[in-house]
Amino acid sequence: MIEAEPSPVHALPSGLCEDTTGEAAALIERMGKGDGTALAELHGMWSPVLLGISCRMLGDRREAEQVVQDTFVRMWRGSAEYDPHQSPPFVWAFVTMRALVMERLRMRRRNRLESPPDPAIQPSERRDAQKVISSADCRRLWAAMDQLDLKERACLELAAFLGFARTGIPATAGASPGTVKNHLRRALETVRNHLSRHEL
Amino acid sequence: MNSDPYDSAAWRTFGMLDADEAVIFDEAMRADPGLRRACAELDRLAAAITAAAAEPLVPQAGQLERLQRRLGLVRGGGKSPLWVAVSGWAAAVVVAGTAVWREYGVAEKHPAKMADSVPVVEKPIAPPALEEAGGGMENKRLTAEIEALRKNLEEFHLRDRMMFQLLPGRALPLVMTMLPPGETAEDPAAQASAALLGDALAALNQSAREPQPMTAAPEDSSQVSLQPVDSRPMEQTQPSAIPIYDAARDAGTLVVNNLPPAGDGQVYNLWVTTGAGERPIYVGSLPESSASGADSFDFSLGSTMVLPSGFLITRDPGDKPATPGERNTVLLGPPTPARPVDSKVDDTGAGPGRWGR
Repeated sequence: MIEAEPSPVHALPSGLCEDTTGEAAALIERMGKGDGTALAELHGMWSPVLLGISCRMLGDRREAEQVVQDTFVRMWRGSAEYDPHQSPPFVWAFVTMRALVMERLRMRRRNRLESPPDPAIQPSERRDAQKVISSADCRRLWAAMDQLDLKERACLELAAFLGFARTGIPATAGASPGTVKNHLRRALETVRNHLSRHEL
Repeated sequence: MNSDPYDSAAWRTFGMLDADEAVIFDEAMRADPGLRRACAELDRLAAAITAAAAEPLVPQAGQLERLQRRLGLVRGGGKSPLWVAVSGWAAAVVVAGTAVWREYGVAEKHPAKMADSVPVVEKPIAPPALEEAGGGMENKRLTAEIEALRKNLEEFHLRDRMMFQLLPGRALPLVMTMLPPGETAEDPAAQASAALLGDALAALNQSAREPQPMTAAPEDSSQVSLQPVDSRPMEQTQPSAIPIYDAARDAGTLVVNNLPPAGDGQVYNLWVTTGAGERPIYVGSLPESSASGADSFDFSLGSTMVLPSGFLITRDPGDKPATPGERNTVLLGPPTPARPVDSKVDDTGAGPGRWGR
Protein backbone atom coordinates (compact mmCIF):
# COMPACT_ATOMS: atom_id res chain seq x y z
CA MET A 1 0.00 0.00 0.00
CA ILE A 2 1.21 3.50 -0.80
CA GLU A 3 2.36 5.65 2.04
CA ALA A 4 0.46 8.90 1.94
CA GLU A 5 1.64 12.25 3.09
CA PRO A 6 0.25 13.02 6.51
CA SER A 7 -3.04 14.83 6.25
CA PRO A 8 -5.68 15.68 8.80
CA VAL A 9 -8.63 13.34 9.16
CA HIS A 10 -11.70 14.97 7.73
CA ALA A 11 -15.15 13.62 7.52
CA LEU A 12 -17.47 14.51 4.71
CA PRO A 13 -20.25 16.86 5.66
CA SER A 14 -23.35 15.00 6.64
CA GLY A 15 -26.56 15.47 4.73
CA LEU A 16 -26.05 13.38 1.61
CA CYS A 17 -28.65 10.65 1.11
CA GLU A 18 -30.73 11.76 4.09
CA ASP A 19 -34.23 10.32 4.20
CA THR A 20 -35.86 13.73 4.46
CA THR A 21 -39.44 12.50 4.23
CA GLY A 22 -38.92 9.55 6.55
CA GLU A 23 -40.78 7.38 4.05
CA ALA A 24 -38.04 4.81 3.59
CA ALA A 25 -37.31 4.56 7.31
CA ALA A 26 -41.01 4.00 7.97
CA LEU A 27 -41.11 1.23 5.37
CA ILE A 28 -38.08 -0.46 6.92
CA GLU A 29 -39.69 -0.22 10.33
CA ARG A 30 -42.79 -1.89 8.94
CA MET A 31 -40.62 -4.57 7.36
CA GLY A 32 -39.12 -5.18 10.77
CA LYS A 33 -42.61 -5.97 12.00
CA GLY A 34 -43.13 -8.48 9.20
CA ASP A 35 -45.14 -6.29 6.82
CA GLY A 36 -44.65 -7.79 3.36
CA THR A 37 -46.39 -4.90 1.63
CA ALA A 38 -43.70 -2.56 2.97
CA LEU A 39 -41.08 -4.78 1.36
CA ALA A 40 -42.95 -4.63 -1.93
CA GLU A 41 -43.12 -0.84 -1.73
CA LEU A 42 -39.44 -0.50 -0.96
CA HIS A 43 -38.60 -2.94 -3.74
CA GLY A 44 -40.60 -0.86 -6.20
CA MET A 45 -38.91 2.29 -4.99
CA TRP A 46 -35.30 1.20 -4.91
CA SER A 47 -34.79 -1.91 -7.02
CA PRO A 48 -34.28 -0.03 -10.33
CA VAL A 49 -31.56 2.15 -8.83
CA LEU A 50 -29.91 -0.73 -6.98
CA LEU A 51 -30.06 -2.88 -10.10
CA GLY A 52 -28.47 -0.12 -12.17
CA ILE A 53 -25.66 0.22 -9.64
CA SER A 54 -25.03 -3.51 -9.23
CA CYS A 55 -25.16 -4.04 -12.98
CA ARG A 56 -22.44 -1.47 -13.42
CA MET A 57 -20.42 -2.91 -10.56
CA LEU A 58 -20.61 -6.49 -11.79
CA GLY A 59 -20.99 -5.97 -15.54
CA ASP A 60 -23.45 -8.85 -15.66
CA ARG A 61 -27.20 -8.28 -15.66
CA ARG A 62 -28.17 -11.73 -14.43
CA GLU A 63 -25.72 -11.65 -11.56
CA ALA A 64 -26.84 -8.12 -10.74
CA GLU A 65 -30.49 -9.19 -10.51
CA GLN A 66 -29.45 -11.95 -8.12
CA VAL A 67 -27.48 -9.53 -5.99
CA VAL A 68 -30.45 -7.16 -5.72
CA GLN A 69 -32.62 -10.09 -4.65
CA ASP A 70 -30.08 -11.08 -2.02
CA THR A 71 -29.87 -7.47 -0.86
CA PHE A 72 -33.59 -7.29 -0.19
CA VAL A 73 -33.46 -10.66 1.58
CA ARG A 74 -30.72 -9.36 3.88
CA MET A 75 -32.58 -6.12 4.43
CA TRP A 76 -35.77 -7.99 5.29
CA ARG A 77 -33.92 -10.13 7.81
CA GLY A 78 -32.01 -7.20 9.27
CA SER A 79 -34.82 -4.67 9.22
CA ALA A 80 -35.79 -5.23 12.85
CA GLU A 81 -32.29 -4.20 13.95
CA TYR A 82 -31.96 -1.28 11.54
CA ASP A 83 -31.09 2.00 13.26
CA PRO A 84 -31.74 5.09 11.11
CA HIS A 85 -29.37 7.10 13.30
CA GLN A 86 -26.45 4.93 12.24
CA SER A 87 -27.00 5.26 8.53
CA PRO A 88 -29.68 6.68 6.21
CA PRO A 89 -31.93 4.02 4.70
CA PHE A 90 -30.57 4.11 1.18
CA VAL A 91 -26.98 4.07 2.40
CA TRP A 92 -27.82 1.01 4.47
CA ALA A 93 -29.24 -0.68 1.36
CA PHE A 94 -26.25 0.39 -0.71
CA VAL A 95 -23.71 -0.88 1.82
CA THR A 96 -25.60 -4.16 2.13
CA MET A 97 -25.55 -4.59 -1.62
CA ARG A 98 -21.93 -3.53 -1.97
CA ALA A 99 -20.87 -6.21 0.51
CA LEU A 100 -22.65 -8.81 -1.62
CA VAL A 101 -21.03 -7.47 -4.78
CA MET A 102 -17.61 -7.62 -3.14
CA GLU A 103 -18.22 -11.23 -2.15
CA ARG A 104 -18.96 -12.06 -5.77
CA LEU A 105 -15.92 -10.17 -7.00
CA ARG A 106 -13.74 -12.03 -4.52
CA MET A 107 -15.26 -15.30 -5.70
CA ARG A 108 -14.48 -14.39 -9.28
CA ARG A 109 -10.88 -13.67 -8.40
CA ARG A 110 -10.62 -16.90 -6.39
CA ASN A 111 -11.97 -18.92 -9.29
CA ARG A 112 -9.95 -16.81 -11.72
CA LEU A 113 -13.09 -15.94 -13.63
CA GLU A 114 -12.69 -13.12 -16.05
CA SER A 115 -14.63 -10.00 -15.29
CA PRO A 116 -16.60 -8.39 -18.08
CA PRO A 117 -14.93 -5.30 -19.52
CA ASP A 118 -15.55 -2.19 -17.47
CA PRO A 119 -17.51 0.47 -19.32
CA ALA A 120 -17.16 3.04 -16.54
CA ILE A 121 -13.93 4.76 -17.55
CA GLN A 122 -15.81 7.76 -18.92
CA PRO A 123 -17.56 10.05 -16.46
CA SER A 124 -21.29 9.47 -16.36
CA GLU A 125 -24.09 11.64 -17.54
CA ARG A 126 -25.93 13.69 -14.96
CA ARG A 127 -28.96 12.05 -13.49
CA ASP A 128 -31.40 13.09 -10.86
CA ALA A 129 -31.68 10.00 -8.68
CA GLN A 130 -35.10 10.77 -7.38
CA LYS A 131 -36.54 8.48 -4.73
CA VAL A 132 -33.03 7.89 -3.44
CA ILE A 133 -31.40 11.23 -2.88
CA SER A 134 -33.01 14.63 -2.98
CA SER A 135 -32.69 16.92 -5.99
CA ALA A 136 -30.81 19.40 -3.86
CA ASP A 137 -28.28 16.73 -2.88
CA CYS A 138 -27.94 15.74 -6.51
CA ARG A 139 -27.19 19.33 -7.50
CA ARG A 140 -24.63 19.66 -4.71
CA LEU A 141 -22.99 16.43 -5.72
CA TRP A 142 -22.78 17.27 -9.41
CA ALA A 143 -21.48 20.72 -8.60
CA ALA A 144 -18.74 19.14 -6.48
CA MET A 145 -17.92 16.63 -9.20
CA ASP A 146 -17.65 19.47 -11.69
CA GLN A 147 -14.71 20.79 -9.69
CA LEU A 148 -12.67 17.72 -10.60
CA ASP A 149 -10.58 17.31 -13.69
CA LEU A 150 -11.49 14.49 -16.02
CA LYS A 151 -9.03 11.94 -14.66
CA GLU A 152 -9.91 12.60 -11.05
CA ARG A 153 -13.60 12.36 -11.73
CA ALA A 154 -13.26 9.18 -13.77
CA CYS A 155 -11.15 7.64 -10.99
CA LEU A 156 -13.64 8.59 -8.30
CA GLU A 157 -16.59 7.20 -10.22
CA LEU A 158 -14.72 4.06 -11.07
CA ALA A 159 -13.76 3.57 -7.44
CA ALA A 160 -17.33 4.13 -6.26
CA PHE A 161 -18.50 1.43 -8.67
CA LEU A 162 -15.78 -0.90 -7.34
CA GLY A 163 -13.96 -0.76 -10.65
CA PHE A 164 -10.62 -1.11 -8.92
CA ALA A 165 -11.86 -4.02 -6.83
CA ARG A 166 -12.87 -5.84 -10.00
CA THR A 167 -9.74 -5.80 -12.04
CA GLY A 168 -7.12 -4.02 -9.99
CA ILE A 169 -5.85 -0.53 -10.56
CA PRO A 170 -3.27 -0.93 -13.32
CA ALA A 171 -5.54 -3.10 -15.46
CA THR A 172 -8.43 -0.69 -15.15
CA ALA A 173 -6.99 2.77 -15.27
CA GLY A 174 -3.83 2.25 -17.25
CA ALA A 175 -1.84 4.06 -14.59
CA SER A 176 0.31 3.09 -11.67
CA PRO A 177 -1.46 2.42 -8.37
CA GLY A 178 0.27 5.44 -6.86
CA THR A 179 -1.02 7.77 -9.56
CA VAL A 180 -4.54 6.43 -9.28
CA LYS A 181 -4.53 6.78 -5.51
CA ASN A 182 -3.27 10.33 -5.82
CA HIS A 183 -6.09 11.11 -8.24
CA LEU A 184 -8.54 9.61 -5.79
CA ARG A 185 -7.06 11.46 -2.84
CA ARG A 186 -7.32 14.80 -4.62
CA ALA A 187 -10.81 14.02 -5.88
CA LEU A 188 -12.07 13.16 -2.41
CA GLU A 189 -10.53 16.25 -0.89
CA THR A 190 -12.01 18.51 -3.56
CA VAL A 191 -15.45 16.99 -3.25
CA ARG A 192 -15.28 17.11 0.52
CA ASN A 193 -14.28 20.75 0.56
CA HIS A 194 -16.91 21.74 -1.96
CA LEU A 195 -19.67 19.92 -0.13
CA SER A 196 -18.58 21.53 3.15
CA ARG A 197 -18.71 25.00 1.67
CA HIS A 198 -22.11 24.41 0.13
CA GLU A 199 -23.75 22.57 2.96
CA LEU A 200 -27.46 23.18 2.98
CA MET B 1 -1.95 -0.10 6.62
CA ASN B 2 -1.89 3.42 5.30
CA SER B 3 -0.77 6.16 7.64
CA ASP B 4 -3.78 8.32 6.86
CA PRO B 5 -6.90 6.75 8.34
CA TYR B 6 -9.10 8.68 5.96
CA ASP B 7 -7.24 7.21 3.01
CA SER B 8 -7.54 3.75 4.49
CA ALA B 9 -11.26 4.29 4.97
CA ALA B 10 -11.51 5.33 1.33
CA TRP B 11 -9.60 2.30 0.07
CA ARG B 12 -11.80 0.09 2.26
CA THR B 13 -14.96 1.71 0.94
CA PHE B 14 -13.84 1.29 -2.65
CA GLY B 15 -12.83 -2.35 -2.15
CA MET B 16 -9.17 -1.63 -2.79
CA LEU B 17 -7.77 -3.35 0.30
CA ASP B 18 -6.84 -6.98 0.03
CA ALA B 19 -8.47 -9.46 2.40
CA ASP B 20 -5.81 -9.25 5.14
CA GLU B 21 -5.72 -5.45 5.07
CA ALA B 22 -9.50 -5.33 5.20
CA VAL B 23 -9.57 -7.51 8.32
CA ILE B 24 -6.96 -5.33 10.04
CA PHE B 25 -8.86 -2.19 9.06
CA ASP B 26 -12.17 -3.56 10.33
CA GLU B 27 -10.61 -4.38 13.67
CA ALA B 28 -9.13 -0.92 13.91
CA MET B 29 -12.47 0.63 12.97
CA ARG B 30 -14.27 -1.13 15.79
CA ALA B 31 -12.02 0.61 18.28
CA ASP B 32 -11.84 4.00 16.57
CA PRO B 33 -15.01 6.15 16.36
CA GLY B 34 -13.25 8.60 14.04
CA LEU B 35 -12.53 5.85 11.56
CA ARG B 36 -16.10 4.65 11.80
CA ARG B 37 -17.37 8.11 11.07
CA ALA B 38 -15.02 8.49 8.12
CA CYS B 39 -16.25 5.19 6.71
CA ALA B 40 -19.88 6.14 7.25
CA GLU B 41 -19.41 9.43 5.41
CA LEU B 42 -17.56 7.76 2.57
CA ASP B 43 -20.40 5.26 2.32
CA ARG B 44 -22.79 8.17 1.92
CA LEU B 45 -20.66 9.69 -0.79
CA ALA B 46 -20.27 6.40 -2.64
CA ALA B 47 -24.02 5.75 -2.40
CA ALA B 48 -24.78 9.23 -3.71
CA ILE B 49 -22.29 9.04 -6.58
CA THR B 50 -23.44 5.63 -7.72
CA ALA B 51 -27.12 6.47 -7.39
CA ALA B 52 -26.66 9.67 -9.36
CA ALA B 53 -24.43 8.15 -12.01
CA ALA B 54 -25.99 4.75 -12.63
CA GLU B 55 -28.82 4.41 -15.06
CA PRO B 56 -31.78 2.82 -13.26
CA LEU B 57 -32.78 -0.53 -14.74
CA VAL B 58 -36.20 -2.06 -14.47
CA PRO B 59 -35.87 -5.53 -12.92
CA GLN B 60 -37.11 -8.45 -14.96
CA ALA B 61 -40.75 -9.31 -14.50
CA GLY B 62 -41.45 -11.55 -11.55
CA GLN B 63 -38.47 -10.47 -9.44
CA LEU B 64 -40.67 -9.20 -6.62
CA GLU B 65 -42.73 -12.39 -6.67
CA ARG B 66 -39.52 -14.45 -6.54
CA LEU B 67 -38.34 -12.40 -3.60
CA GLN B 68 -41.65 -12.83 -1.80
CA ARG B 69 -41.60 -16.56 -2.43
CA ARG B 70 -38.06 -16.75 -1.12
CA LEU B 71 -39.10 -15.04 2.07
CA GLY B 72 -42.27 -17.10 2.40
CA LEU B 73 -44.48 -14.05 1.97
CA VAL B 74 -46.82 -15.65 -0.53
CA ARG B 75 -48.65 -18.96 -0.86
CA GLY B 76 -48.60 -20.56 2.47
CA GLY B 77 -46.42 -17.95 4.11
CA GLY B 78 -47.78 -16.33 7.20
CA LYS B 79 -47.41 -12.85 5.77
CA SER B 80 -49.16 -13.22 2.44
CA PRO B 81 -50.17 -9.80 1.13
CA LEU B 82 -53.12 -11.40 -0.62
CA TRP B 83 -54.40 -12.87 2.60
CA VAL B 84 -53.77 -9.59 4.31
CA ALA B 85 -55.92 -7.92 1.69
CA VAL B 86 -58.67 -10.50 1.99
CA SER B 87 -58.66 -10.49 5.74
CA GLY B 88 -58.53 -6.69 5.74
CA TRP B 89 -61.64 -6.42 3.62
CA ALA B 90 -63.34 -9.14 5.62
CA ALA B 91 -62.56 -7.29 8.82
CA ALA B 92 -63.96 -4.10 7.31
CA VAL B 93 -67.16 -5.89 6.41
CA VAL B 94 -67.45 -7.32 9.90
CA VAL B 95 -66.92 -3.91 11.48
CA ALA B 96 -69.40 -2.26 9.12
CA GLY B 97 -71.97 -4.96 9.75
CA THR B 98 -71.54 -4.70 13.50
CA ALA B 99 -71.92 -0.94 13.37
CA VAL B 100 -75.12 -1.25 11.37
CA TRP B 101 -76.58 -3.72 13.79
CA ARG B 102 -75.76 -1.62 16.80
CA GLU B 103 -77.01 1.56 15.17
CA TYR B 104 -80.46 0.17 14.51
CA GLY B 105 -80.77 -2.03 17.56
CA VAL B 106 -81.33 -5.17 15.59
CA ALA B 107 -78.72 -6.95 17.57
CA GLU B 108 -80.58 -6.27 20.76
CA LYS B 109 -83.76 -7.74 19.35
CA HIS B 110 -82.06 -10.82 17.92
CA PRO B 111 -78.93 -11.41 19.94
CA ALA B 112 -78.80 -15.08 19.04
CA LYS B 113 -78.65 -14.28 15.34
CA MET B 114 -75.85 -11.79 15.66
CA ALA B 115 -73.07 -14.29 15.17
CA ASP B 116 -74.76 -15.84 12.17
CA SER B 117 -75.38 -12.60 10.45
CA VAL B 118 -71.79 -11.37 10.36
CA PRO B 119 -70.29 -13.75 7.83
CA VAL B 120 -73.36 -13.64 5.57
CA VAL B 121 -72.14 -10.65 3.68
CA GLU B 122 -74.06 -11.60 0.55
CA LYS B 123 -77.31 -10.67 2.28
CA PRO B 124 -76.64 -7.77 4.58
CA ILE B 125 -79.61 -7.06 6.77
CA ALA B 126 -79.95 -3.32 6.85
CA PRO B 127 -82.85 -0.94 7.08
CA PRO B 128 -84.03 0.61 3.80
CA ALA B 129 -82.80 4.03 4.92
CA LEU B 130 -79.25 2.76 5.13
CA GLU B 131 -79.57 1.03 1.77
CA GLU B 132 -80.49 4.35 0.28
CA ALA B 133 -77.56 5.98 2.04
CA GLY B 134 -75.19 3.66 0.29
CA GLY B 135 -74.29 1.31 3.14
CA GLY B 136 -75.85 -1.64 1.36
CA MET B 137 -74.07 -0.76 -1.84
CA GLU B 138 -70.79 -0.61 0.01
CA ASN B 139 -71.44 -4.04 1.51
CA LYS B 140 -72.23 -5.42 -1.92
CA ARG B 141 -69.09 -3.91 -3.34
CA LEU B 142 -66.98 -5.37 -0.57
CA THR B 143 -68.67 -8.73 -0.99
CA ALA B 144 -67.95 -8.66 -4.70
CA GLU B 145 -64.33 -7.77 -4.09
CA ILE B 146 -63.92 -10.58 -1.58
CA GLU B 147 -65.52 -12.95 -4.04
CA ALA B 148 -63.15 -11.82 -6.78
CA LEU B 149 -60.15 -12.26 -4.52
CA ARG B 150 -61.36 -15.70 -3.51
CA LYS B 151 -61.70 -16.68 -7.15
CA ASN B 152 -58.20 -15.41 -7.85
CA LEU B 153 -56.88 -17.49 -4.98
CA GLU B 154 -58.65 -20.56 -6.25
CA GLU B 155 -57.19 -19.99 -9.70
CA PHE B 156 -53.71 -19.67 -8.23
CA HIS B 157 -54.17 -22.85 -6.23
CA LEU B 158 -55.51 -24.68 -9.27
CA ARG B 159 -52.58 -23.43 -11.33
CA ASP B 160 -50.13 -24.62 -8.69
CA ARG B 161 -51.79 -28.01 -8.48
CA MET B 162 -51.60 -28.37 -12.26
CA MET B 163 -48.00 -27.21 -12.38
CA PHE B 164 -46.90 -29.83 -9.93
CA GLN B 165 -48.98 -32.66 -11.33
CA LEU B 166 -46.89 -35.14 -13.28
CA LEU B 167 -48.55 -36.38 -16.43
CA PRO B 168 -47.40 -38.90 -19.03
CA GLY B 169 -45.23 -37.18 -21.60
CA ARG B 170 -44.63 -34.16 -19.42
CA ALA B 171 -42.18 -33.25 -16.72
CA LEU B 172 -41.21 -30.15 -14.76
CA PRO B 173 -40.15 -27.80 -16.16
CA LEU B 174 -42.44 -28.80 -19.00
CA VAL B 175 -40.48 -30.93 -21.40
CA MET B 176 -42.27 -32.80 -24.14
CA THR B 177 -41.53 -34.39 -27.46
CA MET B 178 -43.21 -33.16 -30.61
CA LEU B 179 -43.56 -35.60 -33.47
CA PRO B 180 -45.43 -35.56 -36.78
CA PRO B 181 -49.17 -36.20 -36.39
CA GLY B 182 -49.94 -39.88 -36.02
CA GLU B 183 -46.44 -40.78 -34.91
CA THR B 184 -45.92 -42.18 -31.46
CA ALA B 185 -42.75 -42.63 -29.46
CA GLU B 186 -41.32 -46.07 -30.19
CA ASP B 187 -39.69 -46.50 -26.82
CA PRO B 188 -42.00 -45.84 -23.87
CA ALA B 189 -39.00 -45.10 -21.71
CA ALA B 190 -38.27 -42.17 -23.97
CA GLN B 191 -41.18 -40.42 -22.36
CA ALA B 192 -39.24 -40.09 -19.15
CA SER B 193 -38.07 -36.61 -18.45
CA ALA B 194 -34.41 -37.60 -18.27
CA ALA B 195 -34.51 -38.99 -21.76
CA LEU B 196 -36.37 -35.98 -23.02
CA LEU B 197 -33.83 -33.66 -21.53
CA GLY B 198 -31.08 -35.84 -22.89
CA ASP B 199 -32.49 -35.46 -26.38
CA ALA B 200 -32.76 -31.75 -25.96
CA LEU B 201 -29.18 -31.46 -24.80
CA ALA B 202 -27.98 -33.82 -27.48
CA ALA B 203 -29.71 -31.68 -30.07
CA LEU B 204 -28.01 -28.63 -28.66
CA ASN B 205 -24.71 -30.49 -28.69
CA GLN B 206 -25.18 -31.49 -32.29
CA SER B 207 -26.05 -27.92 -33.06
CA ALA B 208 -22.84 -26.78 -31.42
CA ARG B 209 -20.72 -29.33 -33.27
CA GLU B 210 -22.21 -28.49 -36.64
CA PRO B 211 -22.35 -24.74 -36.62
CA GLN B 212 -24.97 -23.26 -38.87
CA PRO B 213 -25.06 -19.69 -39.96
CA MET B 214 -28.34 -18.88 -38.23
CA THR B 215 -28.06 -21.13 -35.19
CA ALA B 216 -29.11 -19.41 -32.00
CA ALA B 217 -27.96 -21.44 -29.04
CA PRO B 218 -28.76 -20.48 -25.46
CA GLU B 219 -26.22 -18.26 -23.76
CA ASP B 220 -25.13 -20.79 -21.21
CA SER B 221 -25.32 -23.93 -23.31
CA SER B 222 -21.57 -24.30 -22.97
CA GLN B 223 -21.98 -24.70 -19.23
CA VAL B 224 -24.32 -27.66 -19.54
CA SER B 225 -23.12 -31.22 -19.64
CA LEU B 226 -24.05 -32.25 -23.12
CA GLN B 227 -23.80 -36.00 -22.56
CA PRO B 228 -27.26 -37.40 -21.92
CA VAL B 229 -27.18 -40.07 -19.26
CA ASP B 230 -29.84 -42.31 -20.66
CA SER B 231 -30.93 -41.11 -24.01
CA ARG B 232 -31.84 -42.94 -27.14
CA PRO B 233 -29.90 -41.95 -30.22
CA MET B 234 -31.23 -39.02 -32.18
CA GLU B 235 -33.49 -39.97 -35.04
CA GLN B 236 -31.69 -38.89 -38.16
CA THR B 237 -34.52 -38.24 -40.57
CA GLN B 238 -37.80 -37.81 -38.72
CA PRO B 239 -38.45 -34.22 -37.77
CA SER B 240 -38.99 -33.63 -34.10
CA ALA B 241 -38.99 -30.84 -31.61
CA ILE B 242 -38.67 -30.52 -27.87
CA PRO B 243 -40.18 -27.52 -26.10
CA ILE B 244 -38.80 -26.91 -22.63
CA TYR B 245 -40.95 -24.43 -20.74
CA ASP B 246 -40.74 -23.03 -17.22
CA ALA B 247 -44.20 -21.68 -16.44
CA ALA B 248 -43.06 -20.01 -13.25
CA ARG B 249 -40.67 -17.76 -15.16
CA ASP B 250 -42.49 -17.76 -18.48
CA ALA B 251 -39.30 -18.78 -20.22
CA GLY B 252 -39.02 -21.53 -22.77
CA THR B 253 -36.66 -22.98 -25.31
CA LEU B 254 -37.73 -24.88 -28.39
CA VAL B 255 -35.22 -27.34 -29.81
CA VAL B 256 -36.07 -28.46 -33.32
CA ASN B 257 -34.36 -31.27 -35.17
CA ASN B 258 -34.43 -32.32 -38.81
CA LEU B 259 -37.18 -29.89 -39.65
CA PRO B 260 -37.13 -29.63 -43.46
CA PRO B 261 -37.01 -26.22 -45.09
CA ALA B 262 -40.40 -24.57 -44.97
CA GLY B 263 -40.26 -23.75 -48.65
CA ASP B 264 -40.66 -20.56 -50.59
CA GLY B 265 -42.85 -18.05 -48.87
CA GLN B 266 -43.71 -20.43 -46.06
CA VAL B 267 -42.86 -20.32 -42.38
CA TYR B 268 -43.20 -22.54 -39.38
CA ASN B 269 -45.46 -21.26 -36.59
CA LEU B 270 -45.55 -22.38 -32.98
CA TRP B 271 -48.83 -22.74 -31.10
CA VAL B 272 -49.61 -23.68 -27.55
CA THR B 273 -52.67 -25.47 -26.21
CA THR B 274 -53.79 -25.16 -22.64
CA GLY B 275 -56.15 -28.12 -22.42
CA ALA B 276 -58.22 -30.58 -24.40
CA GLY B 277 -60.74 -28.72 -26.54
CA GLU B 278 -59.13 -25.36 -25.79
CA ARG B 279 -58.23 -23.08 -28.65
CA PRO B 280 -54.58 -23.23 -29.65
CA ILE B 281 -52.87 -19.92 -28.97
CA TYR B 282 -50.45 -18.53 -31.49
CA VAL B 283 -46.97 -18.05 -30.00
CA GLY B 284 -44.97 -16.85 -32.98
CA SER B 285 -43.11 -17.77 -36.14
CA LEU B 286 -39.88 -19.68 -36.10
CA PRO B 287 -37.07 -17.70 -37.65
CA GLU B 288 -36.02 -19.04 -41.01
CA SER B 289 -32.80 -20.37 -39.58
CA SER B 290 -34.72 -23.24 -38.03
CA ALA B 291 -35.51 -24.67 -41.42
CA SER B 292 -32.78 -27.30 -41.33
CA GLY B 293 -30.74 -29.37 -38.92
CA ALA B 294 -30.92 -28.85 -35.19
CA ASP B 295 -31.62 -25.47 -33.77
CA SER B 296 -32.94 -23.88 -30.62
CA PHE B 297 -34.95 -20.79 -29.87
CA ASP B 298 -36.11 -19.04 -26.76
CA PHE B 299 -39.76 -18.12 -26.41
CA SER B 300 -42.20 -16.85 -23.85
CA LEU B 301 -45.98 -16.98 -23.66
CA GLY B 302 -46.48 -13.52 -22.23
CA SER B 303 -47.89 -14.71 -18.91
CA THR B 304 -46.94 -17.05 -16.12
CA MET B 305 -50.62 -17.98 -15.86
CA VAL B 306 -50.49 -20.02 -19.08
CA LEU B 307 -49.88 -23.68 -18.40
CA PRO B 308 -49.31 -25.46 -21.69
CA SER B 309 -50.84 -28.88 -22.19
CA GLY B 310 -49.30 -29.20 -25.63
CA PHE B 311 -47.49 -27.49 -28.45
CA LEU B 312 -48.03 -27.53 -32.20
CA ILE B 313 -45.90 -26.45 -35.11
CA THR B 314 -47.69 -25.61 -38.32
CA ARG B 315 -46.36 -24.71 -41.75
CA ASP B 316 -48.23 -21.84 -43.31
CA PRO B 317 -47.79 -19.52 -46.26
CA GLY B 318 -46.21 -16.19 -45.52
CA ASP B 319 -46.06 -14.89 -42.01
CA LYS B 320 -49.78 -15.14 -41.46
CA PRO B 321 -50.59 -17.99 -39.08
CA ALA B 322 -53.37 -20.23 -40.31
CA THR B 323 -55.68 -22.44 -38.35
CA PRO B 324 -53.84 -25.50 -37.04
CA GLY B 325 -55.39 -28.51 -38.71
CA GLU B 326 -54.50 -31.81 -40.29
CA ARG B 327 -53.25 -30.07 -43.45
CA ASN B 328 -50.72 -27.74 -41.94
CA THR B 329 -49.71 -29.35 -38.63
CA VAL B 330 -46.22 -30.77 -38.98
CA LEU B 331 -45.37 -31.49 -35.36
CA LEU B 332 -47.40 -31.84 -32.24
CA GLY B 333 -46.70 -32.79 -28.70
CA PRO B 334 -47.11 -34.60 -26.47
CA PRO B 335 -47.22 -37.46 -29.01
CA THR B 336 -50.76 -38.54 -28.11
CA PRO B 337 -52.65 -35.29 -27.66
CA ALA B 338 -56.18 -34.28 -28.39
CA ARG B 339 -56.42 -33.09 -31.98
CA PRO B 340 -56.56 -29.34 -32.46
CA VAL B 341 -59.95 -27.88 -33.03
CA ASP B 342 -60.09 -26.02 -36.31
CA SER B 343 -62.99 -23.78 -35.48
CA LYS B 344 -61.68 -22.45 -32.19
CA VAL B 345 -58.34 -21.03 -33.07
CA ASP B 346 -57.27 -17.77 -31.53
CA ASP B 347 -55.28 -16.36 -34.40
CA THR B 348 -56.38 -12.81 -34.01
CA GLY B 349 -53.62 -10.32 -33.51
CA ALA B 350 -49.97 -11.05 -33.19
CA GLY B 351 -50.35 -13.53 -30.35
CA PRO B 352 -48.93 -13.31 -26.87
CA GLY B 353 -45.64 -15.01 -27.50
CA ARG B 354 -42.22 -13.56 -28.08
CA TRP B 355 -39.16 -15.04 -29.73
CA GLY B 356 -35.62 -14.51 -28.61
CA ARG B 357 -32.28 -15.61 -29.83
